[in-house]
Amino acid sequence: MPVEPVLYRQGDVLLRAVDAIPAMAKTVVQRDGGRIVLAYGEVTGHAHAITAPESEATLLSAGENARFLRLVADVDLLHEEHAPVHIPAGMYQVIRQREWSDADGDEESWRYAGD
Amino acid sequence: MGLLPTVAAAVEGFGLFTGWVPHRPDLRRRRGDTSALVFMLVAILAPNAFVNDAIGTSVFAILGGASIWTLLMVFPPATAADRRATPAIGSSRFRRGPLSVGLITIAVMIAGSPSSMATKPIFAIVVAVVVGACFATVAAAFQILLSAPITAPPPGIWPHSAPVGPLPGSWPRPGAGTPAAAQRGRAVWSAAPSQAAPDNSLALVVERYTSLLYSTERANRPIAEAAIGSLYRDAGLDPPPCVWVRSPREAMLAQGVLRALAGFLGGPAKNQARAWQAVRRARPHDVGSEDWEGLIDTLQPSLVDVAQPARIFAGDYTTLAWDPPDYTGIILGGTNPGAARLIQGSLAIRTVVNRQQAAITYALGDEAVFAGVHFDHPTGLPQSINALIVAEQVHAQRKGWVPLTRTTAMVTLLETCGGWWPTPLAVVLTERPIVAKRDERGLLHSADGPALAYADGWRVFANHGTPVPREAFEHPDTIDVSMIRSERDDDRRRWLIASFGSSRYLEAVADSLELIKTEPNVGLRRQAINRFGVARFVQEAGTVIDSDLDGLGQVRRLWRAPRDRDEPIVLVEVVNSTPEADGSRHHYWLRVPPDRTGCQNAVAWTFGINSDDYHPQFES
Repeated sequence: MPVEPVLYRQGDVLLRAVDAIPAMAKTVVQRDGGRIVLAYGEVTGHAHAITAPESEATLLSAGENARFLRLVADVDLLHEEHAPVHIPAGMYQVIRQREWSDADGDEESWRYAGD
Repeated sequence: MGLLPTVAAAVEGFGLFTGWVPHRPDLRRRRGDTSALVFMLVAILAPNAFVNDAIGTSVFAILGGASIWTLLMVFPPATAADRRATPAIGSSRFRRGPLSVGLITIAVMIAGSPSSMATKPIFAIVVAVVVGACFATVAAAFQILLSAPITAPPPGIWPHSAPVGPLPGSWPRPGAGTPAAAQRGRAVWSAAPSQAAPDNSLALVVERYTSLLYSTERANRPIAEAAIGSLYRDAGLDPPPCVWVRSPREAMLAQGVLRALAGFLGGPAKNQARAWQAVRRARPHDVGSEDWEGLIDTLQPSLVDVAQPARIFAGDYTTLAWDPPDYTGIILGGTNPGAARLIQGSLAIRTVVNRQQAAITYALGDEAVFAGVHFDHPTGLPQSINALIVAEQVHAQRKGWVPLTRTTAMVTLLETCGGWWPTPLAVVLTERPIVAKRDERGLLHSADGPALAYADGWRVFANHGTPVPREAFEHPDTIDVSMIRSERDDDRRRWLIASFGSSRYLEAVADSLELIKTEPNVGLRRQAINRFGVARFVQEAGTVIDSDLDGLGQVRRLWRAPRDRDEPIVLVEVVNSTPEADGSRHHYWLRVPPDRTGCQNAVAWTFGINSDDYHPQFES
């Protein structure tokens, strides 16, 4: 029987627990002020970010819409307008909220929602 | 009399009558040559067979005369028209041949004839000429009895009377003006049957026809009227008088006048003067008296003898042009590998023709139904059916066929005047426009004035093939949203919007929910909704189709707003779980696919999660 996935949401970012991260995923080295930023707000410049040393949290990318988070220790996901979300150590897929777009309603297309 | 002269006479006689093949100059010449050669051989060999034979002398004289006559008929003296059409006819090569053959024949005959004749050569020549003349008379009598034309080829075959070579101003192609270019033009339009059209002829034909539709040359009235005459005679009808007008609008009014005139002549008014008076009084209320009277003043002098009832009621003139044979079918039914290209060429011309017809019809507006006149062909008949003519002409040239009189006449009309319309009383012909402009695709177009203008002041405005209203073209400031809204033609509407200012129009539409909902252009409406605000639009034009509480107890609503000819807009409204500093909470509107029916499956979709699986452990 399939198990309901473990999900954590903060605004328009969803973390979904996964059993494994694809081998092809590459570590994203770049950080913003020492933080791992999962998403920026479109207008406000606010960010969904994790403040943790590189040894504890790593962001990996296997493509534009396939990003993963490897947490060796528990971390807090922070955002200027949202309450912090406590994320237990583990592996997660980072999912950004999307929106249906009108211009191409004929085909399945979407864009990211921004705060 | 010996066997040989008998055979010679028989051969000559055979050549004499079979060699003369009316309508086929090519066969006529070949057989004539053959019989002349055979006769010469006989004339050389024969004398030994009957020296000193009086009958033989007579036979020689007869054969000599027949030979001279045959040669003269085979190579008739060229007329001025022949020389114009085929310069080679006038050259010495053509004249020297028959002359020398004739002289050699006479010389051989004299040298080989009985000694009594040899001593009197002048007498022998006189006898030969006299007998030859007798032969000619008898043969001519035979041909008259058989009702075959003797010298004149049927009209319209070759050489035909249409002007050959390019029309000035309507042949603006690379290399135009050079002898080679002129020759190419001729190869398509007036070539002898034996000359096959070159393979690029179709493109030239398409270009030539479309160019003719935009020609501003003055009409060549005598040639156009002669073509009308040959068209009618070809259909077995007496040609009616031709009347000339300056524009399609006048042509349409003229048909109204002629229709009224025919009615009065056939009915109450028994004489012509009274019929014209009645026509003047019968001005339709929507036609200005200046227009009506002016046109009658123009037409009346050309129509002084139209009162014959027989001509009025000869309704079969319509068969002239409204019943063209299915040339397309003929071509497709054959094995011509170029058939598909021919059809393409026809369609290319037809597109231009249809656009021009539509523009003229549009510019005529309500007048196009004036007085119930049949005006289905606003640019005139030849333009309407010329795609078929092109197909036939090109195909005929390739096959070496001689074009029909009818199509030749129609091409001549296309080359020499504007539109024309047969009516029971007269054929109405128009002058060409004085201004005719097109875009690079060959469609009627002018951004800075009329695309078509006629000598009577009537004008047509068009934008890339789409006719546009004169008032809006000349005074763009009169364009408003309601004018744009009432325009039903998409292309014209686009032009109106562009002239009004597309961003100005978008702003005006985006300002009003009602204008947004009724905007017919789907793309423009989408832009207007974005500008208006999608959430605002959904709240004002849509309904809530589902509502529940999220994991944090906040209300979620699913909104749906239908749109005409477009998918509905479906938005899920969610409330921020974290309150603002002032205690209020942000509402977010997330657009979801139109097939979402509940808040749960809508929100789950935004994260790409299965609806049943979307239950976050924690959210903020």
